[in-house]
Amino acid sequence: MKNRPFIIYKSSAGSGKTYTLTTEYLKLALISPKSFRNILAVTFTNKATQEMKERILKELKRLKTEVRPNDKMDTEILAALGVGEEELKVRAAHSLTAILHDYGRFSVSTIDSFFQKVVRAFAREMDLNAKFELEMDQDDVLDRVVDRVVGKVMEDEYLHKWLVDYAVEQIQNGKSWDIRKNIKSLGRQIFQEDFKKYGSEIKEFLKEKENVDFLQTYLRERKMEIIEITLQLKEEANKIRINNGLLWTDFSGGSRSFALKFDKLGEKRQPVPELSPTQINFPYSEECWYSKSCMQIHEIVTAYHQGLGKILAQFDPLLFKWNTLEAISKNIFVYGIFRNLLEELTQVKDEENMLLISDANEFLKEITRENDAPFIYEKVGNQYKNYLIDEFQDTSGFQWASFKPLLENSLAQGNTNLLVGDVKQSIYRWRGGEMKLLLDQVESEIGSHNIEQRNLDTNFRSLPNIIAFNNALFKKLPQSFENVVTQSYHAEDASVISKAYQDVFQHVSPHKIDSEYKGKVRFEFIDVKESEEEEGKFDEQVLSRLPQMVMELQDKGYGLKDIAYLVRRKSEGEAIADTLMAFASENPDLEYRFDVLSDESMYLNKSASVKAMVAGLKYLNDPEDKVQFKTMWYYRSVLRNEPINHELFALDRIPIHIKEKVNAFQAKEKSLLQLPLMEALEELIAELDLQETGMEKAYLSGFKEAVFDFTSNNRADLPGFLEWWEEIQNKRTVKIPEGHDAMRILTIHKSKGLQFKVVLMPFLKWTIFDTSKGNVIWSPFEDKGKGLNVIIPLNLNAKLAKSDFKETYAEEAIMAYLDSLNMIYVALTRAEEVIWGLSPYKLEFKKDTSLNYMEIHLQLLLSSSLDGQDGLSLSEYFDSESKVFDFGEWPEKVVKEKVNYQAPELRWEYQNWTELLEVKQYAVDFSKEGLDQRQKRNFGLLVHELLEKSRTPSDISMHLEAFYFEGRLDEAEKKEVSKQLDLLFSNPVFASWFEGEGQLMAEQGILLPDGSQKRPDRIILKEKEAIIVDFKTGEAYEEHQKQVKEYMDLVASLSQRSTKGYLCYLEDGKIVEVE
Amino acid sequence: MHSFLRNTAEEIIQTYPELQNLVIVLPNRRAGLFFTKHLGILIDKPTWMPEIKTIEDVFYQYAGQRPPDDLTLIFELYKVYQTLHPEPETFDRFYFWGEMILKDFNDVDQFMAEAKKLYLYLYEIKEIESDLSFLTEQQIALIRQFWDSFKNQGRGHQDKFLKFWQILYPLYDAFKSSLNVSGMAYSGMLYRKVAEQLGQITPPEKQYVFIGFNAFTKTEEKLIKHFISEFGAKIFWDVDAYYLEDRIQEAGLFFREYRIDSIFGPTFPKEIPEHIVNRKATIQTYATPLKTNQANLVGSLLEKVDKNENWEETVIILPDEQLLFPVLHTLPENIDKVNVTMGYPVKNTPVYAFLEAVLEMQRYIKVENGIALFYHQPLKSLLSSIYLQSVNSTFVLELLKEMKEQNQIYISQKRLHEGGAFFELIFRPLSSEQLFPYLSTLMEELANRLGEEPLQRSYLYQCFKQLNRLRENFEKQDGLSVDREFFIRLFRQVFREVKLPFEGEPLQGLQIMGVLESRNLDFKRVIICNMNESSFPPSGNLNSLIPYNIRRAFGLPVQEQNDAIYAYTFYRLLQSAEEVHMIYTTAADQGKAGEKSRYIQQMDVEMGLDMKEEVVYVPVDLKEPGSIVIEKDEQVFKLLQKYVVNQDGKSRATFSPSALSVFLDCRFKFYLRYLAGIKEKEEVKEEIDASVFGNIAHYSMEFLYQGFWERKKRSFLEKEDFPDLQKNWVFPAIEKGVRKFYHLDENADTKLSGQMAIVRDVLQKYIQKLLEIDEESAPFQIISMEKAHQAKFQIDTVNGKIEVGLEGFIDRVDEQLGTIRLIDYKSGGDKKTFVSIESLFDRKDKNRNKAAMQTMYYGLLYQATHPENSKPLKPTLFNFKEIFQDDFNPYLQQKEPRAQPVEIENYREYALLYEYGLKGLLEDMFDPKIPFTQTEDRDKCRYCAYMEICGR
Ligand code: SF4
Repeated sequence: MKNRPFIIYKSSAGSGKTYTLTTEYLKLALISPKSFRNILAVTFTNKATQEMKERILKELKRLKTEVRPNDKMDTEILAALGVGEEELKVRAAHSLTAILHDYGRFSVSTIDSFFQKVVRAFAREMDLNAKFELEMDQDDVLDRVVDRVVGKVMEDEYLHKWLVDYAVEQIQNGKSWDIRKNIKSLGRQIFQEDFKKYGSEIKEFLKEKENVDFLQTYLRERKMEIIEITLQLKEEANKIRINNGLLWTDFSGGSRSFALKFDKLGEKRQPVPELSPTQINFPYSEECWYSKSCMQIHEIVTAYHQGLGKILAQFDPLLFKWNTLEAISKNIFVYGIFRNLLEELTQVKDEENMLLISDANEFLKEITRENDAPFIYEKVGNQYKNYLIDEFQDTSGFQWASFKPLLENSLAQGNTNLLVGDVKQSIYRWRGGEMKLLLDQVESEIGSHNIEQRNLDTNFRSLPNIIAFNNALFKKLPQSFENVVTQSYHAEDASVISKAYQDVFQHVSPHKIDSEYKGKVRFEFIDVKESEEEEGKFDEQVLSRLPQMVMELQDKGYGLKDIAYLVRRKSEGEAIADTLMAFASENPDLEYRFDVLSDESMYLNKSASVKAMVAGLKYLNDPEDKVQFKTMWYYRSVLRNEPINHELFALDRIPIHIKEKVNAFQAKEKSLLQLPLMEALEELIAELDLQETGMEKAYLSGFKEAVFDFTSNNRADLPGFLEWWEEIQNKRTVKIPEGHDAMRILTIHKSKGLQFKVVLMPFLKWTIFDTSKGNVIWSPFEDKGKGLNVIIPLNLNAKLAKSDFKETYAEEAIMAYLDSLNMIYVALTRAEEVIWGLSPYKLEFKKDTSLNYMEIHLQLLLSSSLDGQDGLSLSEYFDSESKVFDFGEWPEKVVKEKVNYQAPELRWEYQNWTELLEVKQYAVDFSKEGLDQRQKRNFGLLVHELLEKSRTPSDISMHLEAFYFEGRLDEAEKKEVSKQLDLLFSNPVFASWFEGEGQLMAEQGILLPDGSQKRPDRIILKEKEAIIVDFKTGEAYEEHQKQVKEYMDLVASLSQRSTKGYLCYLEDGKIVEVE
Repeated sequence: MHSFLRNTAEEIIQTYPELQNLVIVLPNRRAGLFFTKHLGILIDKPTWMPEIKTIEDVFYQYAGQRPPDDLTLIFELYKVYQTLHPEPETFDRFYFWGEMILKDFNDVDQFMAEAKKLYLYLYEIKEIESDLSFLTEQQIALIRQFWDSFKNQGRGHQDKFLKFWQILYPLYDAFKSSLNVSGMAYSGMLYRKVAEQLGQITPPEKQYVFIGFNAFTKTEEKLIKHFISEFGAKIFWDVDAYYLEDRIQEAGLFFREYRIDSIFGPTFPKEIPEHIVNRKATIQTYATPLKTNQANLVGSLLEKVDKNENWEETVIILPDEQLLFPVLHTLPENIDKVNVTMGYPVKNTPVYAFLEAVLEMQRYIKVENGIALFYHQPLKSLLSSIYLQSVNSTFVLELLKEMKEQNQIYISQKRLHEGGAFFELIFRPLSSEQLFPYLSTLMEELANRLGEEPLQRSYLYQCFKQLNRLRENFEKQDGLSVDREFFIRLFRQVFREVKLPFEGEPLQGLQIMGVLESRNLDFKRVIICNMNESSFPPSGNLNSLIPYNIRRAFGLPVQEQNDAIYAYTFYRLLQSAEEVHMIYTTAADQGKAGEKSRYIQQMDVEMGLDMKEEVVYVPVDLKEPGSIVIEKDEQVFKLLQKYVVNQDGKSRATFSPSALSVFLDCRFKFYLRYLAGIKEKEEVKEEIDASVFGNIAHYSMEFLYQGFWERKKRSFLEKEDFPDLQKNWVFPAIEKGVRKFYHLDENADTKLSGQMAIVRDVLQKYIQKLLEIDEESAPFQIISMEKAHQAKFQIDTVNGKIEVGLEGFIDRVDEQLGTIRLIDYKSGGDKKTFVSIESLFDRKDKNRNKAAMQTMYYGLLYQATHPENSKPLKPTLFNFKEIFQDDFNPYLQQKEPRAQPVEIENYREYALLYEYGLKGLLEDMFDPKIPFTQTEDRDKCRYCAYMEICGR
């Protein structure tokens, strides 16, 4: 049968995804030179886009000269096209040129940029502004929105009420009073897809302010009810107890008896005490109520039967109710404010006519729903027949919804499309990534009969040992994760986890199978004694070992390029970078190198130079702020190794050696503020001689770049920049070219799609289901009795497990575990040759809680997993003494010859260019003279400009109009000028210069051999004579006469005619004949 | 060096010695300048110059008219639009659409398309198919393809599209006629008029020569052809075989057409020059990690150039004008002249920023009973701007200071006007009519005040001209009223596009220019920055409301044509270059990754020369600032002396409890604040942060009981007194408190807004609660409120015993059932338990109880000031975060591990231990051997005002 048009590649790590994509792309592109115009290849990141493009071009360049028939790619292409090698070469050549010269249509792009393209094409239909800006920095927008909302507090009584109640509540719970912060943290939701999914319902609910009130009262009343109930129970319980002459401490457990919880009933904050897992079934078994030795067993049992048992039985259900209400109340105030947030947001967007990046998806969804594919293509001006979508597991629901109609349209015409992705590598759920799409949803939506599934199960990346290890590990790990979820989180069905990993097993690639070196996997579990088990201890140990590890690796013959640190949190990366850079600067004469490179963890604000600059700018912005002033000079001294002492800090003192510098700086202060931001910065750098030290260049440039970017997208004023910097400074890092030979530090998220010879995971530990962050999930809530049905923003926390939201909670747990599983999968599959991880070692652990830690799972599996019919049994390689898992050897050291590449030099010295550049001046502009003319309403020069430009009066008025439309004159001034002109023209002599007979040579003038020009304002060649006129403004001078004379001689000799010369003074129209 | 213009000049001089009889037409004025320059060098005796024109001049001259500026046209367009569109949007929303429509109309006319047919409508398609005959089959196909996409109608967006599409032709029609009425026309209109009436042009006496054109619009093409065929005009092509012969090379797109044209064809040179292939130019590409690094690289490239180099032959092409100044900054000294030709966006300049800020300030003025009040935030940034500082800096600084210290949220117009004339000019609430005159006077005033700042002045002038246009237009439209928001938005939209055109003359020195400015010019050394996709060539979304295929069908330019034009400007540069440096950046920007330009890719594949690519690397190193240690040299020691009590029994300074707390937190912090004297920055506080809240609470409580005291003439409170207090006096007290804190005039009823209002209402609940608590403990006798208490305290130092001064304000002292309560209100959630007295002075102790240390300190002070007192002194703590708890207890408790807490009934019982601890603390302070060092506990730094210094 002909293969189906819709192909889904399930591509496990290292299975040559790009290779496959390229092949598929070429198959389609090489059909005809223009075919590429109809292919849209969608990648996840800009970087991926680049690589994809380069890869395609590279292969085409190759194919045009050389076809390798026994190479997988080429054989497939040859087969697909059904052509011979020669023909293929030709086609490759053609397509290559076609692409290079129609590059705009070489459509390999990220989802975002494709979506934007479409949205732009529909701007009008979507009621967007014609030139909307795309806003990436949504937090910044949110800030402004929140500020505006809070500002409005007095105009909106509801808002006011909410804010007050909210503040009070916050304070009563001893929380921060900073309303804004809290609104923002929840407010971020409005950009999230999860929110937008429910968007319409929510907006509906919020439209009526009363609704929120209603909900609030509802909660208050329900809570009161529970409190009353519990108080009654408490009373009853105590009655029963007393009747039986008992103390709560008589019950089992004594002074710490469960029974004391009866007394805790009805407390305002927590009216229902929680029963421990063991106590849960007390209500149903009186035996647990007394200890064997107890004297009053009889009384206790009676008490139990008189109702204590039943009362205790009510604890859990009540607790459920209570937790549910609590969960809802948590965000209810802020929720009420959402209405205002949304309103303001729409306004801000409108005022600054921008489109939020997060809106693009939503819009496109609407566009593709609202229109037929052909129309869309017509509008966009590009017709796509084939879609190749990469990293599909990270596609969001909206994105898929947007693509679907287009894909279906293409399928309908029998065109090939394909999706590539790997469920196991979906780690962008927090960005809306929907792995379920790839898992099965797409298949069910498109219909399996259209779909051809292909599984890429050979790993071309890693050496045998790495693959063997991962095969073994991920055979087990999914199962044990699934168990935890079902046991500790009571998930009904967690099978999705193992389903996602059913195809995890990989084959070793033929190239690697018989390579000398097999690869190495090493995990060290560091035993941090229980006593010092606080955070930090482990981290310290790890950091102290890093340099050693690096040196060891270099001894084994690995270059810096080969090494990558994978971390979970940026802060970890930061710590690594700091440690290594510090170590390097402390041990300059080691023959080892420690250069690191990271786009994520090397923050600009780490550098002394940057601190100096920022302080400087802050000081300029607010000269009262002496802290900044001192900071600036302090860091300058640091950079120059100058003494740090009282002299330097004391407000009223300045060390002698910088006195002059300081004076110079203060002298310049004012002028700095006059300069465009970029300028000011350059000057500042010069003033502080920051580039002189020759240090921290990358940071210096990095900061310049920050200013550069700011000015290009914003109003370029200093205060604005400083605010922006406050926000951005913890995001901005140094940028280093990819090629540079240094160790990479990157988060697992960023490592996706990359590979490294050696993967180091120094902080291999994390909480799997982390409820401490209070992430928000949206969940419907219904109370039929009270006619209540709303979508509620819940903060994720353990309490939800005992509430009506427990399913939502369990579901979250499943996904969280899957996330972590994927995370570790991605991390461990980056390695080509070596994996080396460090984790803390746990001696004993509590079943339910401890299993929520990644490191524990590893420890368990590595130390105790035995089976090995297929593949290796891990525990054999675990040495329980040293607590080290070690599998495989180090490679034979190969000494690589040093390639020391000389990068081009850069110039850092600063030049003040102002003398170099001059600006052209015009009549009545804002130059000193110009302004002066304005004040005096003196348009002489302007008239002059007009006259010299013009041949005829009509020319004059044409140019006058032009001036007017340029804005150089307003109506009134224009009138004045024409008045002045009329005056001049009223003189027949003057007029004759403009309409008399004769050939006018005015604009032309005369060229002299030295290249200089002579341009009298009028030269009129008549039959016999030539007339020369020069217009003047201001006083009459001797020179004028001379000059005209000069002209006359020139013209005489050129025209062979007798010449008449005139001077005309434009202010009063006086005409002087020159003899 | 090969130069197209020079060669052409030579050829012309030879063929037409009578230059004065020539009209030379060039693509732009700049090319003209260079051309005459060459002429000048070539002649040997004075000669008449030829007339030098741009093609534009030619058209406008024949049209006898020039087009007005776009703004005017868009206004005109809008007028017509309003009459045609059922519900027209406001002008500011229309503005950019107008721009787009105008551009479309321009194209329609420039390319002489039949508007009626172009804008035809779905149902008309059939009927006109027949008379679409003037179009080729393929064109018709395109049109049909487009309309076919409407197969199933009635879809939301299609209707929208059609609705709008429908009015475009009527709009086009009506617009033109209304322009005709008012005697105006947009350029395309003029061009078309001329092109359609070529027949009526009288043969010019002079010889026309067209030089260096590449892409013609239809009208241009028609006119030039007419001149060639009818008037024997000459035309010179600036072309190279490299892209002309290669039929796929977009750079040659137009030439290839012209070459087979019956009229143009013959005018092409017999053999096409092959400079690009023959000249083996050295071509070098560089990748820089950051955009700004390009400038550094350019700098070093120029540095290498030989000193007595002829700079005119070197050009730096800047596709992104923003790079202009960074480049200028890194120019090496050996460059004495620079010639910049490009537009620089005015929006990047502070003077513009100032204007926008001034305008936006209007949003933040509120007028209350006739008094205009200015909101502090926008005001602050305005005041700190140089333009106000330079006028009257003393006033500005003093005002800023006042705002901070007095925490002023609104500043009155009156106060601001004390700054002088300029301030009076700026700070007034404006009605929308006043906006225009306001701004233009403001601009002139500003310009007047700018000293020797030619650049700034011209920036301003650009804005001024634009403003003039706006004003003139608005004044002509009686129809649309300007409300402020509308104006601000429009202002932003219009002015952010304004550019200051640098037009370098004379033509000497290093040449710096934008891409298009380089047309027809030739250089030996070419340096191009931003060789990135979507920069060079620029990103290809040509804004048009006419769909792609329709444009193509009617021969309107589409992306392909744009690309071709840029490609040409690029490859042209190679015709004479011997040395080419192409710099691109890998920096991702606004989500766009730095992708190297297609031209680099093309050359790489097709030029067959090995192109080296170098990667710029900036060394990454960090300076480790060591930890800061301030030794107690005698300098520092002198400063400490101010705390020491001298003969007259006084000390110049005293230790407040907070000072001591600071010292315990971090010695260095204490040093900075109390010895180095570096005040932490004060800011106008509006947020409900703990300190604001606390302050206001203090004031309010003071006012509340003060008030009572004054009304009842007694300071003894009975339970009965409270209901009245709670009911009638809390709110006023708070109002008073808030006003005191924000220095608002007491009786002026300024409405509290924003956070202030919230503070007040939140506080309401607190004071009420506080009163409940007091009511329970009533009756009690108020002894003092917010009163300072001093003491002297003896310690041992290296130079013997000394006494130091202690002082503290006790929020409230009262006597209840024979116990003196030393009350402190705390807005925080401070704990009341502490392990031991020692722990209060233990800087290592992570949960050292500051509050306890402080309230006990009050005990010490009180006893010192009332030696006779024998009553128990009870430290008391009303910490707001706890008072709502059911079991609230305001008294301190000592709780040793695993022991029942003990309530502190009487300070005096602990005095010895406490004083011992205090002594240790102070002796540490005066010990010369212990320097001031940074704390180890970084949590302390989190809210420290000096963290910038310490970099923590
Ligand atoms: S930042 Fe930390 S170390 Fe520096 S002064 Fe403040 S508290 Fe002390």
